[in-house]
Amino acid sequence: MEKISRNKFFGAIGKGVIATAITAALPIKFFSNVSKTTRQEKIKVAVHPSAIKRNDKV
Amino acid sequence: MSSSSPKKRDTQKLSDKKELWKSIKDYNGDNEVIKLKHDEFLEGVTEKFDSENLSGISRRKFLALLSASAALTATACTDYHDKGEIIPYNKRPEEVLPGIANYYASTCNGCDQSCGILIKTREGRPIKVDGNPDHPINRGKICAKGQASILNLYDPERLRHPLTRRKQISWKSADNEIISSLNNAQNSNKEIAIITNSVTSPTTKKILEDFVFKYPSTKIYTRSLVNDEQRKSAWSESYGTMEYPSVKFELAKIILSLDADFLGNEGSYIENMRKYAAKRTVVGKTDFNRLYVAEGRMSATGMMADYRLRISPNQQLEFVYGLINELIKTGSVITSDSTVRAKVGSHSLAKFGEKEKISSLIRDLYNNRGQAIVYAGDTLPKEVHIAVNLLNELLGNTALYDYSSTFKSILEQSSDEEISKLVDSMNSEKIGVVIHFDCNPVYSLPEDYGYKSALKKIKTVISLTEAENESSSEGNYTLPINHPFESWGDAYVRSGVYSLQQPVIEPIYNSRQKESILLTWISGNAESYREDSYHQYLMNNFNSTIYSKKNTFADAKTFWYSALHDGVVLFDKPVVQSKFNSTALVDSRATDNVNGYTVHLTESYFVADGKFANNGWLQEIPHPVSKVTWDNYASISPKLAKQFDVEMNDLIEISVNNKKLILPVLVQPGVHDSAINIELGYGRTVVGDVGKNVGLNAVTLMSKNYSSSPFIYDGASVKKVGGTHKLATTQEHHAIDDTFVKDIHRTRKIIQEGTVEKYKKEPGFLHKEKTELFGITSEHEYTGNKWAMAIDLNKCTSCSVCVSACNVENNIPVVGKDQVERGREMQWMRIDRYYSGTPDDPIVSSQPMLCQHCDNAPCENVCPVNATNHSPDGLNQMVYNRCVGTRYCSNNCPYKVRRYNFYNFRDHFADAYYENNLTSLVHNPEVTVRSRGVMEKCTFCVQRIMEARSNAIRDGKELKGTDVVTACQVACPTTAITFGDANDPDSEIAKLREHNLSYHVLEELNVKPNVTYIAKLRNTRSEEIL
Repeated sequence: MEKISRNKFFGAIGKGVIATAITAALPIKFFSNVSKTTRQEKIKVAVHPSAIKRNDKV
Repeated sequence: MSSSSPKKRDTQKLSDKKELWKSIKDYNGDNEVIKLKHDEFLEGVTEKFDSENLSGISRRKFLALLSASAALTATACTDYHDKGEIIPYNKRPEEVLPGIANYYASTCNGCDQSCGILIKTREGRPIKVDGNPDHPINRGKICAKGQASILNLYDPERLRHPLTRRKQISWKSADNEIISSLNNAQNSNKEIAIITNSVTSPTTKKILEDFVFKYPSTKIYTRSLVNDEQRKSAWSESYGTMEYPSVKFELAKIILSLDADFLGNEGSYIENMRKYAAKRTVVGKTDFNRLYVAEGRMSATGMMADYRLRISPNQQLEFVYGLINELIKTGSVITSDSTVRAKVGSHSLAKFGEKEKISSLIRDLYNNRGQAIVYAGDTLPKEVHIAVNLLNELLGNTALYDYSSTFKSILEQSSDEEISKLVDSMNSEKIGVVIHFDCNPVYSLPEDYGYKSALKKIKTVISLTEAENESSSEGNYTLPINHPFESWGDAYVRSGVYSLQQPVIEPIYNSRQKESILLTWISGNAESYREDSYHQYLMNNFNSTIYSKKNTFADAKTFWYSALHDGVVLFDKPVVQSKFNSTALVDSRATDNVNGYTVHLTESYFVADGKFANNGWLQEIPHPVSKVTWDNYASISPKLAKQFDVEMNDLIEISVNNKKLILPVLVQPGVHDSAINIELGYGRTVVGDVGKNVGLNAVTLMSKNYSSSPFIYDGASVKKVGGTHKLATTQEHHAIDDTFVKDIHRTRKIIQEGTVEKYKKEPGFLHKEKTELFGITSEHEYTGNKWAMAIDLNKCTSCSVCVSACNVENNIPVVGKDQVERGREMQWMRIDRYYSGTPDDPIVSSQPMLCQHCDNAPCENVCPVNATNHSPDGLNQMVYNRCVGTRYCSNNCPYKVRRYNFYNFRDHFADAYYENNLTSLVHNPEVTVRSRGVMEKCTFCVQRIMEARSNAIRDGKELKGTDVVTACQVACPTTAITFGDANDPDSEIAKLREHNLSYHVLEELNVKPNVTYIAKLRNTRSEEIL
């Protein structure tokens, strides 16, 4: 088995962390489902101002 | 499992008709079904896992992959920006209190009955619909479609913007272009055709009239695929008016239903169910009605029959004439009308066989004159309805007509000739503009009208629709309209009852109220559109037509608000009765020489005329009779299946009037040997992903040249074409292992039944053989509330409204056809359907089945993580976060009511169709949305119990059983479900648990279930069930 030095090992981890952090900050979503994203739009939900509620008689 | 041939049933044993069977395979003792009963799961539910097939992987590679996947996961999990933040309202809307539901009264638009509804909203979003208790017609109940219609509001396939030739366009541009087209058509003397479904709103009618006033070349065409036109025409010819009365089923001692599914999906069936069940109560005096059903198919109403006769739909006129003749001949009724005598004189009932049942029917009709009703189905020809009107006249049954509540028509349906003329005008380019006003004629009109090809010749075709459909895809303007929950409206379909519809949420997308769109075009100015234009118009019309007639002291505004609050305005209506005109009777066609088979087309129970095709909840509710989901099929008798050497799923070709349709077969016990029943509403091609190509479009077999009814076609031929189409039926899923129980314990049937006669003679007949049960566990004492349910099988009609209500209340996912085939449907309630007797003449029993919340619950003992356990108030509860998905509990449940999330079904179904920001709004926030790997089941609506408890604590009161109403209970149209505190001796539930007819399913197991069933009584003439 190939030996790996302590220095090299932590170096690799450090590079990985930096790469992950940079990728995370990018606005691109690598693993999001395309068909889902098309449906993930902001939805406006507002009570109709003229509706008359009847909580007293349910 | 041995591969020996199916065991033969003991015919001697069957003759007593007590043995239950669920399907033809079960009846024949098929080994496959026996295996299913013994096995816990269907084959394929648990995929095989073979470690041998795993590839060898080194430790190093494994760790490398693990690290890589950790890094990738970290990257993937960074998508938190769009998840939103939970923040308090900056400016809280006045009506909204977080966590507290608001309720709004409105009117359902699902069909022409316009039931009153109550819409429950949470934080501004509608999450549940129930009936409006103040509405005199449906009295707090609505159908399964009405319950599930909330999913259509959040359908991701709803149109978001106006479109012209698939491209987005602004409302202003669309309005300008359309107004110009309307003016051009008007100036060049070309017709403007507005095509609409039945109109139930008087204010919409007024707008259409205003439109005609502005553009005088306009003609309105009204056409619904399924309608009551045959009944109306018959009433008009019999009594000179189209307004026909409702029937007082609650007073009828004898009901004869002729192919009428009045308890299933015809007419005002929610109202009918309530009235019918009023004479099926076993609490207090047992005063039952007797239901005779004469039908060619097997309908939900037919399943309820005390006596059922198999009569093909094309023989119904002969049958009614035969009945009248028999009654006249025997002197039971006297008529001096020579027309009547001439028409019925030659008809006999001998050809229908079933002597015993028919003579019982004649005796009952005669002995209960004035207290019986004969009721024909909407699909039967006008002639049958006229004959039925005569029969009711002769017997004095008109006393059960309720003239104070007549069915009204706002706009009459266009005749076949008018539709043909329209198409001719389209072909000869006499029409400039066609407007599809929330309808879909390309799908619903028979092909031989040639509507679709004629449409291509029209320059401007405008569709006002919620989502793309077959008609909008042929046009050049598709304009999105509001969902009914975003719309204003009114309805006047029953005399004396005016219903109001109000929006409870602002339009989610860039859609408009359909009437407002017309108002803009009437004004001739695209800039004139105002969001509240129809609101104002409706109020003005209300003031001039309703308020002005009401004679109230309240001012107009107060009265309007009060009407919106109640959802309905009632006023007196003069009762008008007319005299029967016997010249309306026609000669009956002899059907003896008719070759071939009779195709009978009926409306789907759940997707209706195709309107609800894209509603996954409705597609997945098992058919009340066949238990098939996600499909339609040709329902044929076992004898016919044998004749053509076909079994369930085999494809057959049905040809009639040079039209052909290939369909899968469903062998249905009880169907007439010459009748083929097919449901309409399937086979949509331009619809959302859920409903696309589900089933086949039976309109293909319809013709504009029908002989007596557009829904019945004689002389059909049938051919086996080879190949199969698998129907996803839940018929044999979750079968209870009755053989196991019988072997070990004394025989206690799952279905317990008797007759009214027997019960009157010996009220305790059900418990004659009951013995003391011994348990190995100590009894737990419930000192506070103890929740329990009772289900009265005398009242249950298998309508499945409870299933639909439970789906909505408890966030039940849609799993799709492939998963249903594997037995993975997730509904917490199911309606088990059992047959007894023979496949030709079966007796049907239905039983809602849900978690029984057993005191000695066998599921609890086997859960290794205590995820399922018992609450101090008697609930068998699930802790989702603890569940690790061993499914031991499901294995150990004798009722098979536990459902396992084999996937995150919202994500898994139809490319995550229901996993999006919009559809998520339908979820009940009080109920956890379960994910993959978790077991679930009925909770007795624990969230409602908790809400009632918290209200009781707030008010300083003691929690009572009547404070809690479960979703299925509130939805049940016949009040067959009772829920409450079994520890309260004065409660209804406590009394029902002690009722003579009460029993528990699989009582011998001593699991002490808390769902009590009230045994069904059949109102036959003898003490035995026929």
